[in-house]
Formats: sequence, structure tokens, C-alpha cells
Amino acid sequence: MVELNGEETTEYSAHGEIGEEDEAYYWECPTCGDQAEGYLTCPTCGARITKSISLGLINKIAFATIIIGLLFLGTASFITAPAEFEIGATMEIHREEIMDRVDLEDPARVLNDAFRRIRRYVLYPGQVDYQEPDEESGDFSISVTPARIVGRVSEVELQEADDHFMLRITDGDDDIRVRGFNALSDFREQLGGKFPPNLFDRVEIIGSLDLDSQWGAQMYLSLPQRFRVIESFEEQRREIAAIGSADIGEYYWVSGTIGEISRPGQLRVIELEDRGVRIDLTVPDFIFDDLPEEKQNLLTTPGTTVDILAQVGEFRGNPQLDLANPDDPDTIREVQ
Amino acid sequence: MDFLYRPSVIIGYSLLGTLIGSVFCSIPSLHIYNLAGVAFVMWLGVRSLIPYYALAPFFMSMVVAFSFMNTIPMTFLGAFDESAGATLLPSAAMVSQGKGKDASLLTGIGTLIGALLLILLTPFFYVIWPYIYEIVGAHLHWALGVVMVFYIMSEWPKGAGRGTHPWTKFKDAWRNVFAGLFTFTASAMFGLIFTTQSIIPIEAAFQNIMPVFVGFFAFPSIIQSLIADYDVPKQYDSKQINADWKDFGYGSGVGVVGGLMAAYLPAVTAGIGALFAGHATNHQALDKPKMEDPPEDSDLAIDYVMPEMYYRQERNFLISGGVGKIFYYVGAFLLLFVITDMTPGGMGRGGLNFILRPAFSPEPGDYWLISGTILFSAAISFFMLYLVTKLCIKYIHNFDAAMLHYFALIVVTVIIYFMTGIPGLIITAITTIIGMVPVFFNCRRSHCMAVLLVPIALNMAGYGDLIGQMLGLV
Repeated sequence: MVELNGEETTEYSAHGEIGEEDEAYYWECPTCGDQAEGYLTCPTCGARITKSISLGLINKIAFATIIIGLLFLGTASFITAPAEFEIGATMEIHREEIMDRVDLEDPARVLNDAFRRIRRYVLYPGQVDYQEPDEESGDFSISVTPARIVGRVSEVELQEADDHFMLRITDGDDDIRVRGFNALSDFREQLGGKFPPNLFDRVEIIGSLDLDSQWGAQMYLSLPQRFRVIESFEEQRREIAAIGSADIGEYYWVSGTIGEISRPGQLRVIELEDRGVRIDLTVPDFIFDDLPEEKQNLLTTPGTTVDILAQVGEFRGNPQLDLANPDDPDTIREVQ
Repeated sequence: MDFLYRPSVIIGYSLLGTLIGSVFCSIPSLHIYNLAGVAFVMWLGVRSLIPYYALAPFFMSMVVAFSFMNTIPMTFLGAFDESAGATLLPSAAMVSQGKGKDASLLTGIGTLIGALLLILLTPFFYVIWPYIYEIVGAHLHWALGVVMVFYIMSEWPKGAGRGTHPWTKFKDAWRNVFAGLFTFTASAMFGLIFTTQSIIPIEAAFQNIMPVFVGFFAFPSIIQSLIADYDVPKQYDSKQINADWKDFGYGSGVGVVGGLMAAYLPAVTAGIGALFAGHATNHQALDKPKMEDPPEDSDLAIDYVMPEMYYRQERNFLISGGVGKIFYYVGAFLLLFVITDMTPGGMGRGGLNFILRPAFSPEPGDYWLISGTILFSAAISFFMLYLVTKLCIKYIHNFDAAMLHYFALIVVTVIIYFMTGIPGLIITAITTIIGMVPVFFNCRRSHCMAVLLVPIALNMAGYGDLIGQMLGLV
């Protein structure tokens, strides 16, 4: 409060409270720099002398916004990253939480348990969605978008007429189907020679993971940008002795002599031996039955040395082999 | 440290997008959608340039930067785009008074406040906006019709009606009205022809509207600036923002209303939105000039307070224009990421949405990523605006703006040729002729938006083909 001509006033100049300085009535316009004398609005430029906001304050607000924005963006980038799923883990969840229970328990409860388990894999809750059990059939589904899987391509199916495609992606033990509806031509156009991938290429797929009580576990891929070949398949040869747990999911040419053959259930376990080291080759009956007779004989004649393209899998902690591409007879050859 | 990789990449591309947008959008008449179109074509060619997950943050940060930095050419270089109606007149007047810094920063702070409001309105976007989107969606055709009627009606006679003969008086008073009607009609006719018989190659379809906008807005601005040969006066380096928080409160309200209208209604730009919002909320202007604590003794020097009304309107106009701009450019794209049960594909509108659509679709969680990008990029863009404004007020009066305009003319022409070929240049030439009418006859430039308003409204009403048939176009 200062006294002006006998009156008290609370007016301020641009430089502080009026009366604090000697030149109380004569202040400079902070906008144009001219003398505004005693006016509250500058007669030169029309700017107000009082009730303005300092640029320093605005800059501080903007600086704080950068920090908040940086933290916000960093956190959002981290938590909204595609949920990482291992193919085996996905299939296990589907098997244990849905397939084994869906016919025995209340669908809502099965959905709830499966949802809770799948939710553990996802940082941002909005990425998990579900469809309530159908009143008549009890069918339900849970989806995670975006979800990421990495594996090798074990099957490519193209439906040119419908513009669909299906890729089977495997990690060595389990596999998952990846489907693209009305997307084949788009994928071909945008990815050129990189689509469809070659068999056994290692690929990264980011799409929508669907655990469906009726249709099983599948992924849906709609954007070509979300498909990437990480590593093109190159044929490699590996000795049986060199195969270890680090090779699970990989494809190799392997040579060995047929040893004992056993039939535990609906498959054949064929022992392959090379330089005193053995490994099991498992061939399910439905695959064995589709093999040409010549190849069936080759695999079931002890003492024969064979050269096969196999994928390394695992059984009870030990590596085992599966035929990589039984549809191609050239991947099972006799060594003379 | 793998978990830091993705955030680092996204932050890096957001920063890059902000810097690219800031630098290029300071060039007069270079619109963000031209730049985004070129960037998108480059990305389609070499996809490894930007990882897919950083694509939206990169483009969003470019648009955010543009929302701030187009203030520079619009304020200091007289290069106006289709959103110029939101801020044009007061900023030009303020620059002529040497208050360019105030004009630029008032708009910039308005834009920064708009960015913060966009984030704060998240619950509104998720809970209420989808209903508005769905309910109003069925009525868009007549809503656009009303927009057009209001817009034409708002072109009232501006001349004083002076002259020696009735004809000269009439011409003086009404020429802008007839120029407006002509611009609107010619743009609408061109729009009907263009949308049914486009000569732009199909592979450039995502950029087919670019030559039209360049012709309507960019080239006339450049030509006008070159003809006018206007020397910007020396600018004051003010130490304050000539507004208080009340102004920002009022301006933000108007800006949000106008910006949301522009973000939602197709072919309604920030300029048109600001016009509506201004009319709908312009009650403060009806106040009498207020005194600042008027002392009782009228002899005191301090008693002399100049009428505040004009300056207050000026401030509010700039602030609301800034808010409206970011809602229009950024908000329209942000709404693409609002994925709800009612709107599984988002609610995005606007040019960037159209450009990215062939290769991008939003996913759950992207909204937060984009919100973070907006905050981060907006604050950096504000500092860029502050920096460039300081440079402008220091050098603009000695700067040969003509050179920059010639440069812009060449750059934009090359972009059109690169993106759309000779057909694009032909379209630009035609639309430039129509776009010059408002420049020479002082009517609203936004009448040119009839190029989209009329065909969209007709198509939404289901009469597009019928009118096309009547005109012999289909």
C-alpha cells in the first residue's frame, strides 16, 4: 500500500509496488519499452502494465512439462510394449486353464482363471480383452493385443482364392498357428520377397493372441509391418554328440545309424547313433503313415545309416529329434 | 538394460519428429501434411528408417511441432494455411504495432495449454466422446449443411459503401460478399469434379488432396506476400506475456469448443471452428471497458486507463486460436487411439489419419504412448517457438522475406511434382486461381474449404451420385 496524492492504492508498476522507487508514476512499458508514465495501459502499444505473466514462469511450466512428458512417454513406452509370449508357455496355459477344464467346470470360472493367468504376462491391463461365455455353447475367448512370439516357421499354407494365409510357428516342442485373413495380397505387396517366409526361417510376429475355448490358441496378424524374418534358414549339419539343450527349436541335418525302435503309444521312438552317442527320433503314427513306403522302411531297418533334416526338441530335459519336413522325401535319405 | 531400448527409441524418434517438424514448418506455406506425406513415402520405401512402434510417436511429434511452429510464418511472414482464420487478424495487427513477440507467444502458450488440456480431457474422450461420435455421426450431413449456411451468412458486407454513384457504393460494400459466394461456389464445383473424376494417379491417392490445399492456401499466401512486399516493422522484445490467467481461462474455453468441432466435423478446420466457437461464446466482448480499480479522484494520472476491450479480444483470440489449432491438428489424430467397445477402430479424423491409414492401425495402450509424445513434444516445441520468436524479433525487420517465399514456392512445387506428378501441378494451378479471389477481394479464405464440405455433405446425405449425374460427372 502506498499513498498517492493523499489516497492509498495497491497499484503496482512493472518494477514493483508503486512508491517503492522514486519514479513511482513513471514506468516503462514491459512490452514496447516506451515510457508509459502513470498509465496502466501503455499509450504506445496498448499493452497492460500490470496483470501480466512473466516469461520466466511460462518457461518454468514448459520445462516441467518436458520432464513430466519424458517420464510419461518413457513409462508408457515400457508398459505398452507387446506382451512377450513363449509358444510353449502359451500352449501350456491354454491346455491347463482351458482345454483340460472347459468341459468340466463353469465356463465363467474357467475364463476367470485363464484370464488371471494370462494377465500376469501383460503390464498394461488394456491389452487383455475377453469375450464372455456364450449363453448356449459356453464358448469364450481371451485375446492379448499386441502380443509377440518368436519361433521358426514349420508350415506355410496359402489360400490364394480367399486371400488368407496360415503360418505354423514352432519353438521345437509346441507350435501355434498364425493366421492372416484377407491379408495375403497386402503382405505380399508390402513385404515383397520376404513373404511368405521360407520353411524354418526364424520369425518375429506381433499380433493378436487369441485363446479360444472352441478354436484353440491362435495368433492373428493384420499388419505386414508386424512381421519380420529375424534369421533366414540356412541348412547346417550337426553331429549327434554336439546337440545340446541350446539347440532346442533349431533345424539341422543329422546323420546316424538306426538302432532300437520302440512304440510307446501312438508314435515310434527311433534311436539314432553316431560315434557311440545316441539320440531319439520321435515319429508320430500320423506322420509315419503318410511317409512313402521306401522311407518307412528306411527308418525302421536297424543298422541303416540315414541322413535326416530334423528339428531339435526336448523330452524330460533331454534333446530329441523330430522330422523337420516329412512332406519332403528328400529330407530323409539313406547314406550309402 | 534391454528394457530401456524401446523407450529410448520412442523418445528418440519423438525428439527427431519434433525437431524436423519445427525446422521445416517454420518455412512459410510448407504444411505439415506435405511434410508428413514425403516422410511417409520415404518410410514406405525404407521401412527400417523408423521402427513400426515409433511410427505414430514420430508423426505425432511432427504434427505437435507444426501446431506450435506454424505460428512463426503466420505471424511474421504472412503465410496463412487453412487454420489461419483462428489467429490471423490480431497477430497481423500486433506485428504491425511491433508486438510480434506477444502475438507469437500468446498463440504458443495457448497451444501449450491446449496440449495439457488434451491430456486432461482423457476421461471425457473415453466416457462421453464416443457417444457424441456415434449420436452425431448420423446427422453429420445436415450439420455440415448448417456449417455452410452459417459460414456464407457470416460473410457480411465489410465495405463502408462509399462512392459517387450507387453502383460504386454497392460495389464497395458488397464486393467481399460476392467474392465469398464466388469462392465458395467455385470451390464446391471443383470439389465435386475432383472427388468424382480425380486425375491424381491412384498410387498417390493418400496425398490426392495436397495439391488442392496448396493451391487454395499456400500459393495465394506466397503470391500475396511477394506482391505486397510488406516490410515488417521493428519488433519489441517484451519481458512479459501481456495477459493474465483469466485471459487464458477464457481463451482456452473458446479454443476447446472450436477445436473439438474442427477435430470432429469433417472438412471443418480450426479457422471455421474458431469462428463458431467465437460466436457461441463471445459474451465477454459485450462487456463495457473496465477500469483497473478506478480511483475516485479523476485528476490522478493513474485514473487514465485506456479501453481494454479491443486488446482483451485480441488476446483471447490468439489464445483460443492456439488451443483450437492443437485440438484440430493433434486432437483429431489423438482420437484415433481412443479405442472403446463402441469405437473399436478409434475416432480419428484429419489429414495425418488419412496419410497413415494404409500402413498403420492403433492398438490398445497406444493412447498413453501418444499422450506422452504430445506432452514431451509440446514442451520442446514451445521452447523452439520461443527461440525462433526471439530470433525473428531481432532480425525480421532486416530480413528479406521474399527470398524465403521464393524458396517455399520451389520446395512446395517440387513436393507436389514428386508426390502427384504433372496432374497435381495442374490441379494446383486451377485451385491457386480460385484461392487468389479471397486475397484480392477480402473475403474469407476458408470459403475454399467448400471443396470438401460440399462433396462430403452431399455424399453423407446420399445425394453425391445424384448430383454427380446431374453434372454429367458419373
